[in-house]
Amino acid sequence: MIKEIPVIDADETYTIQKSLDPNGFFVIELRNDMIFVEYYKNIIKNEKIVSGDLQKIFRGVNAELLSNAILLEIEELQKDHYMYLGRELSKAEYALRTHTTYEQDC
Amino acid sequence: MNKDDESFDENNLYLWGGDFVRGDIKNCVAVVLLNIKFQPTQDVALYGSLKTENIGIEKIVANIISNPYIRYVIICGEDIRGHRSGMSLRALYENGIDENHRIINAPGAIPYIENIDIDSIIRFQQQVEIINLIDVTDPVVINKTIEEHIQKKPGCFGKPFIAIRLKTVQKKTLEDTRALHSRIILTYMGKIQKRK
Repeated sequence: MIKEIPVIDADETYTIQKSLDPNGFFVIELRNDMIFVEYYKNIIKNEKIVSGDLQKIFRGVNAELLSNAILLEIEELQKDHYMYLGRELSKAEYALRTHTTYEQDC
Repeated sequence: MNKDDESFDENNLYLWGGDFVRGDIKNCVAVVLLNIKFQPTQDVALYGSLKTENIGIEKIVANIISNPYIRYVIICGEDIRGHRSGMSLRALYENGIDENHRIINAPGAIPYIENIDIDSIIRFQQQVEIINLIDVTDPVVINKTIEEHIQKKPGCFGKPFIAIRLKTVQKKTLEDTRALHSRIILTYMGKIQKRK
């Protein structure tokens, strides 16, 4: 029997409503020729996220290694949050290598 | 070299980072930019942008009190819509925080200080003077104000204040098979090889 493989067009129908991860958020920035990733747990007051409680700072120059470190250290994030981090860390590494500015997509 | 110079370790400066440019560490002026692209003509201690009324302000306070030579904080540019970060920083300086960690009388949406303690805020209030140039975008006016304050030569406030301490931790070993794909490559003959 001929195997049929579905081909998925990743178009606008796959737009996912962005939502805040209840497990926290990240601030990514470049300084001293390194990528710094700050991980904050959400601080909620009156049912609203009002700030973050700084938990850990990751630093490095390589998006893949930073991704691995985050994956090992913070295991409870939402799936789309990990994918977002992968994209952002790739952008940050590119900016670091090309000496251009990096602005985190929030 | 005086006593303050001896206790001044440049490795403990501006530990938390942020979006700023470092200058002469013994200059007495720091410039906070709101929605404005501006480069001071003088070699100020640091200048950079402020965006958020919570973590952004915390970083500014922590970084500034790590350098006791900074005695004036000039806030300039147009305040951030919704966040009102510039006015919230000024409110922190003037009023401090309440028991819920909210900056008293801050106009921002969520002006909460959660990562630095009350001693850091008091130190900030004592060490620096806020110079309010919110809504001023003219570089001539801003540079003139910077120059005027540099000329005051107020001197070092004392020992640096460490608001947040960073410590390097033991690394976890990478035994996780989820990362296997990153450790192997497939050759053109279809053979699996270890990535060098």
